[in-house]
This record gives sequence, C-alpha cells and structure tokens, in this order.
Amino acid sequence: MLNAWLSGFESLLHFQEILFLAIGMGVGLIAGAVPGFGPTTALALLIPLTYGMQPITALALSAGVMGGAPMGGSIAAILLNAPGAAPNAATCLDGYPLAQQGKAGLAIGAAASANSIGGIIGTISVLLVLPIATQLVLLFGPSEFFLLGILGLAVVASASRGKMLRSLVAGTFGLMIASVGYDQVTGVVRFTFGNAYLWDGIHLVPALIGLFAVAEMINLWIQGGAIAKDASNVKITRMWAGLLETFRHWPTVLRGSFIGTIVGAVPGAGGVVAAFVSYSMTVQVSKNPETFGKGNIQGVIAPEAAINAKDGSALIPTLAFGIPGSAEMAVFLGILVLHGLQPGPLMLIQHQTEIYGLVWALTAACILASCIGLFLARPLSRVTLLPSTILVPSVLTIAFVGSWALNQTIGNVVVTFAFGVIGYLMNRLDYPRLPIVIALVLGDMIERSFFQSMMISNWSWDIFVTRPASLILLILLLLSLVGAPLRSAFGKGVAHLRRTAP
Amino acid sequence: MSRITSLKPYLVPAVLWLLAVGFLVVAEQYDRQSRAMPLLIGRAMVLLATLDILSRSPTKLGHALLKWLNPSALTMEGPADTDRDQWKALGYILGVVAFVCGLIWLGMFVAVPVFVFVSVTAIGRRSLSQAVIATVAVSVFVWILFSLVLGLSLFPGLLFGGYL
Repeated sequence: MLNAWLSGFESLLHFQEILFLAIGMGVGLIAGAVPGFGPTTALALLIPLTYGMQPITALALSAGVMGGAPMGGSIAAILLNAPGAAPNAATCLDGYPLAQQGKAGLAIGAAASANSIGGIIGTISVLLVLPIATQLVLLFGPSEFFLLGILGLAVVASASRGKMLRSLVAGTFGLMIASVGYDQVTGVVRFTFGNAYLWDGIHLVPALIGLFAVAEMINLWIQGGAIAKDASNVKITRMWAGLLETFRHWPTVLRGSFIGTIVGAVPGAGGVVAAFVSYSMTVQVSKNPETFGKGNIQGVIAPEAAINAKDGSALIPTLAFGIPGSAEMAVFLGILVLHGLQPGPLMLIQHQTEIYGLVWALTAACILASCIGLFLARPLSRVTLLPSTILVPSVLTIAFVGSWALNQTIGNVVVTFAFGVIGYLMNRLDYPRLPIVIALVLGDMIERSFFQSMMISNWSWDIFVTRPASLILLILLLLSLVGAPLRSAFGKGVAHLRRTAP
Repeated sequence: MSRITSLKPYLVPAVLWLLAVGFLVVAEQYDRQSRAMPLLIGRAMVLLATLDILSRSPTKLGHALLKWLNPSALTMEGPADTDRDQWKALGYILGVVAFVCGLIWLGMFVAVPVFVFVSVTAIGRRSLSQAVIATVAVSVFVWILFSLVLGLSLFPGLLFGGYL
C-alpha cells in the first residue's frame, strides 16, 4: 500500500502535472468565487479540454479545481455575503458580519487554515478507507452490484431533503435515458429510432455539460445584473491572526473535519449538509450560542473545515463503487470515464497510482489554494462584479464548442442543449439533478449486473435474497426507501410535541 | 382559462407518465433479454409518475403522499413564477436555440461572434464598445483554445460545407 501512496505522489512530480494542478487551482478559485458558477460548472466546462491529456494530468487539473473552489467560495461569502458555491452559505452567517465589523482579514485567514486542515483530514480518511473498500468490493458479485447501483439511487433520493419522490422520478428518468443505444449484453440497438448518433447511447459528458453548465447559465441569464455588490470599501487586515485563530479553536476544526468526512462519504448528502451540520453542532456545544450569526469566528471555522474534509471522503463512494456523492463528484466521474478509468472495484486494483495521485493532488490543491487565496482575496472578490450579461454568453459559447470538441460531432451540441433545458426545468420545477446523473453513470452497470444475476440464477429472483451480501444490501435498500418517509412523519411528530410542550 | 391553470401542476408528471408508457410500448418489441431491464424501469416510472400526479391533487391522499414522500413541496418558499417570468425564461431558451441552430447551419466562425455580440448588446443592453471587446475576446479565445491548442478544425456549418 505504501508503494501505491508513493508512486501516486511520484506521478505528480512532473512539470506538466504541477502546471495543470496550478491551472486547475486558479480556475477553482475563480469559479468558487462566482456565485452561480461553482466548481461543478467549471469541471463540466473543462472535461472536453482534458480529452488529449494523460489521465494523471486530467486528474491533477480536476483536483486543482475541486481543491481551489472552496477557498474562492469563502472569500466571496465573507466579503460579499454571496456564497460562491452552495456550501459556503453557512460561512456567510458569521463571515459577513465579521467583514462588516472590519475583521474580513481575520475571517479569511481562519477560513484558509480551516480549509487546509479539513482537506488534510479528508485525505487521511481516504487513505485509510480505500484499502478496506478494495477488500470489501472484492466480495461483491453481479447481484450485489445491481443492488448497490439501485441503493445508490435510493440513498441519494432519501438524502435529498424532502424530495424523495421527485428524486426517484429523476433517477428513473435517468435510467430510461441510459437504456438508449447499443445494449452491451445482447447486442440489440434500443430506443434509437433510426438515429445513428444514438447507437452509442446518450454521451455522458455532453449531458453533464448541459445539465450543469448550460442550465446554470440560463438561470443566471434570467436573473440578470451583476453577480454581487462592490466590496471595494471592505478592509482586509489581520489575516495572519486569522490563521492562528483556527489553531486556538482546534476542537471546532476537528469536529468540523470529522463531520465533513462522515457526511461526505454518504452519497447525496453533499457539502451543504456537511457545512450546516458542522455549523449547528458548533452552535449547540458553544458556551455563547447567542454570539453566532453576529460575527463569531468559530462560525467561519466550523463550516470551512467541513467543506474541504468532505471533498476527500466523497471520493470514497465515487471511486470504490462508482456512486458519486455530489453533483461535483458526478461530473468528476465523467472525467474518469472519459479517460478510461471506470470507477468501481477494478479501478481500485488496476489504477492505484492514478487514485493516490489524485488524492495527493487534492490535498496539495486544498493547502496551496488557501495560501494563494490569502494573497488574492481582493482581486478574487472583484471577479463577482463581472456582469452576467457578459459572463453567460461567454460560458455558453465555451460549453457548446467544448461539447462539440469531444469527438467533433454536432450531435453532442444538440444533446448539450437538450440536457441544458432539462436541467433548467428540473431546477425550476424542484426535481433534483443529481439522481439523473447517477442513473446515467450507473445505468450500464445496473443493467449488466441485473442480466448476469438473472443468468446465474436461471431467471429466478431468489439470488437477491439467498446471498448474504445481497440480502444485507436489499435490507439497506428497503430501509433507505422506508426511512425517509418515516423520518419526515416522525420529524413532524417531534416538532408537534415541541410546539405543544409546556 | 382557469381550468388550464388548475391543470398546470399535473403537466410534468403527466408528460413523464406518457413517456414511460411509450417507453414500455417500444420496449415490448425487443426480445425477452433485451427488454427485461427497460420493462422494469418503465413500470417503475409509471408507478412513480402516478404517485407524483396523485401527490399534486388537492385531496387527503395527495396531501398524505406529499407529507410522506415529498414534504419539501409543502414548504416551498418564494413567489410563484408570473406569466412574465415564464415568457422571459422562454425567450432566453429560444436565444440558446437560435445559437445552437446557428452553430449547426452557419458554423462556429459565424455563430460564436454573432451570438456574443447580440447577447451583450440586445439582451445585456451593454455599450457597443463593451460588446465588441467581449465578442473579439470570446472569439479569439475559442479559436486559440480549440484550433491552435487542441488542433481541431472548427465546424464550418452545414451551409459552408460541414456535414452531420
């Protein structure tokens, strides 16, 4: 295992990898700072550009974006009260009041060091868990992989905060789309209606660019105006004191990192949950809970540590099982697939150098982006002043041309547009987008595993209950489907009891 | 008019329901092994879309389904979209449609600068100088990145010798 860690580290020590890591970090810092843009859109736009790269170079670029975005997001949240990415909304609660009190530098410094420590703890969790996950997935057969794919969709649906039904609808719609094209198992071409482009199925990357980059840009276009107010009057001083402040509140950092690590590993839970759970836990254990929301530095440290810690642990389900924990991870999964790195058990065994290279790159990006962010706080905050009327046509152009560039097929442009509209409508109509992506990614694996299971069992459904591992997964599946409705009903009951209590 | 308005919430799940039924009908035409998974998916979609339709009905059953399966819909915040908002959204989407058609028929050398210029001036209401700067910057960036760096020949458009 030590060899794999070292060879992963070594694979990054080349000029090209370091250069693309730095470019990724720069893109991540800027994308993280622009509300409505975020790391998911940035990653989606970068996918076509990685096409000719070596896998490790593409992974370094992606890790740079993922590691850099949280720092960019915290700067915008603290200086402008405009969270770059959704998880940074928790940072606004105390970060912006601190900026209003003239302590923006203190808050940015604390966010930077909390980001770095959270990133390191997230990395340690991946390094510890991946070897165990490798052993675990080797126990799985086709029936377990089929149930695991369905479980991934169910867990994401039940974790989607009160939108279970619509998440399941979105996931099933994604499976319908994933059925289009050449069936790997039987060789039959399905649902193509004579269109040769559809023989290969709906291409994942143009769909991702549409669902995230195009849909977000349409949304931003409709909102209009400049993205944030000018923060040129805000003073940025005492950043070094902020860095030390994090170490003074070490229990808060550790708690935030721990929460981020746990939440990040749960598919569908994502950074928003990690940041807000960490924030609310910190408020609950504080001796002065009334100071939160008015500029308490712990209110910045807690969510920031959780946001970066979850990035590392979110890699665990993505790499080990091919189940992305968040939209960002789903797009990242698209990059893996594009480079022939099919997530799942085989990847854990065959591509250890790339995996550990990615983990090291992510850690380096978290730490370096925090350092760079400290020096570039002011210019980064000015990025948010870019009017959406100029940003949107520019990004849309790159999205569509980039989608075409993947394999120089104009059909990709049409798919990107169609998924852009689908993504926009899903946003407006309150249907989560993550399940559709997970279904697109896992569709092939689910169908292949289902077919293999049925062949092994001579078309008997018993195989899903007679194998112990399958039975456990089936029970988990049922619990996740039943758990969310019960939780919402039980939650109402508790709320009612609280209201009626004397 | 009010009848149409009252049917609006059912539109999306109804479309999904019809799509699922169509999916099942097409799937039935394949052999047993090829249709096994699509049939499962199609039936699941019919069930879920039916639940989605029922959950939107102003009945006790609808309310119970929402409470158990989709409670966030009970606490939706913010004002509903007005007709003006919806027309505005449609206008922007049509703008993107025009751009996509431009890319296909006129090609990237023509569609990209025209789209950026028109978007910045007509929709963004920015000055002519800003529009020219944005147009030149985006066009040159696209050309450098895709033509020079990635070595691709940008799509010339169906009208100028391109093919699908």
